[in-house]
Amino acid sequence: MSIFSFVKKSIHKTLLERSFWIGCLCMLTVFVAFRIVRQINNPYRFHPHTQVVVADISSWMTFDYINTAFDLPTDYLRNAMHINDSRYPKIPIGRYAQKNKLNEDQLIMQVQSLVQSYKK
Amino acid sequence: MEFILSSLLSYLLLYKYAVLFGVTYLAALALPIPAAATLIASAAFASQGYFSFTWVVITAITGNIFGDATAYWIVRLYGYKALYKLRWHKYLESGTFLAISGLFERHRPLILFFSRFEVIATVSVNIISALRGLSYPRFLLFTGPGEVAQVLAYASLGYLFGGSWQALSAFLGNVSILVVLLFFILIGLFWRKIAKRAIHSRISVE
Repeated sequence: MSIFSFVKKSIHKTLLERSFWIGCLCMLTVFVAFRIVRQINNPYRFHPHTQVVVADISSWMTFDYINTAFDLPTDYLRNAMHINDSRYPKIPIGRYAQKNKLNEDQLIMQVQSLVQSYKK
Repeated sequence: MEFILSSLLSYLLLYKYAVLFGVTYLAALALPIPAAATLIASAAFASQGYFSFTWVVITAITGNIFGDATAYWIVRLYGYKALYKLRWHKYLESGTFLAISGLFERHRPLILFFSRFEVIATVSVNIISALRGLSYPRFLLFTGPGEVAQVLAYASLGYLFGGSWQALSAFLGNVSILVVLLFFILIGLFWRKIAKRAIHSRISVE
């Protein structure tokens, strides 16, 4: 009997398999734990405040939501951006950009600066 | 997941409670939808005055309970038939399933209640409950309060951390993954002990 087959027989197969999976799970656990620690240590992204900030404005937000969240008059963004879409304000920024073949990032920046200037 | 969430958020802002109900309902049917993130986002929008917190909670609880009920009845009515057709019924007689069933019988109220806080646990427990033939009123007796507690916990956090709900959602997602991983590691380490105790308790119950 070769050494290899002897070792193979002597080691309990299920124990080896179990140890392998537990080892994999432990590595994954350490990875996830590191991510959690990093998230806790990031005070800008993770602190209790209810108000959304201008930097948070994203493509999925509708004009209606932005008007409510930043307390803007309903027609402020429509007039400032010359929006003629009949679905305004119930249309997401991203979809509006796509429909009108506009650059999404530029449009978001435009909305951010308009909200910022209204707040001043 | 990021893309799915972005699309979902747009629809959530457009169709409000209907989308929240749909997401919570479908998530209970094991569809890979970010239901917890959607619930936290809805509560955050409520803190900013765009949603009503009360309606967010009521809609999410209703969606979850209806989703659980649908999953339960599908497995109850067609589970065994499907398993026999797929020739997977042998797994129901396996030692692992018997051990899990024994464990389930022993701590049923606790397992039904706390499984609501984790989507994989929710789906697994719904399937086991239906396959074990647990009556629906009994199932609802413990899963109902569990759903209420889960929705209130997530919604309260979303309301409290309104502006940074995305960071909170990612954080809770990671914590949830960590809990599941630790659970599987513990099961792996103490499997023989757990299986022995579970089978023993099952025999004594029968």
